[in-house]
Amino acid sequence: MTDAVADRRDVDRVLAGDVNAFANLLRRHQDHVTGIVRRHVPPDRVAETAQDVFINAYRSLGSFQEKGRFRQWLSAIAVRTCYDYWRRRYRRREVPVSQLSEAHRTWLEKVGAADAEQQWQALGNRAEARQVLDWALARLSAEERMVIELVHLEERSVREAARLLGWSVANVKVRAFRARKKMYRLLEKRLS
Amino acid sequence: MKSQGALVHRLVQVLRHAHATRPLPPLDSRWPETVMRRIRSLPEPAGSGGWPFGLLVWRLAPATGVLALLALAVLLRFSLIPDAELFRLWYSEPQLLGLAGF
Repeated sequence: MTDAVADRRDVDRVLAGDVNAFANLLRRHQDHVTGIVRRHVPPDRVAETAQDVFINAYRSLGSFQEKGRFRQWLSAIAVRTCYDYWRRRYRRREVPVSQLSEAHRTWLEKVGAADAEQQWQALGNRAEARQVLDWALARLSAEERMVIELVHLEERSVREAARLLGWSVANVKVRAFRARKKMYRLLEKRLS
Repeated sequence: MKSQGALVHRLVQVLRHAHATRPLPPLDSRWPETVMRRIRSLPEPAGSGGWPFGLLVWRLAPATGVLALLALAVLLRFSLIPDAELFRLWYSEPQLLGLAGF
């Protein structure tokens, strides 16, 4: 039995009142959901946010369409749950705005001097890379953060980002353009 | 000497790699049971056969709001609300309605 068929069967069982069938969906898609969530929320919030994703999915299971693939539907719920996480944090002004240290400046200089792709990858694997990225993302709004992560960092198409976020294609295009401009300006300042 | 634009472009490439390789902290082995416990405490999800009422309300809310404002403007403009007309009369010429003593 393919995953899509098994998903449909389990969704039907849950909707018919067999809540335990949801455990099959959870087991089958746990890695996929945590794989999405880990890219959008801080590491210490992954478990909690992934849990919220499955709870949101359970609550809106009735809206899952016959023709749709469960995994795609769940991906959109995962992205929107991460977006909600950031909206909540921005509303409560809980986004940590860190400063770059000497170690980050040295790392930026190394990026500027690196010539080979291998060197870039090695630099990208370092903790400083994620810290500089988080530093830049913390200076964007929740909307800009999600768009830049989906479109520019994960290189998803504008159409796919729009589907995941539940926004119009035009909205994503405009926000992606503005967010990119803002982020490039931030990085340019740091490099100069 | 590399241009500033090329440097930023390269930095974004490095950050893209950093984003893709963000570490996944290991989940507690009891995590699935915790999720299922919370799921069992929730009311059953609504079936797919029902009307997506909540969804429609929010989708139609902006248009409904605009229509309500337009209707109000038309009603006020053409004095189609008797109470508004009465209030206007009382406000401008209270003696006409015998309410001057109020």
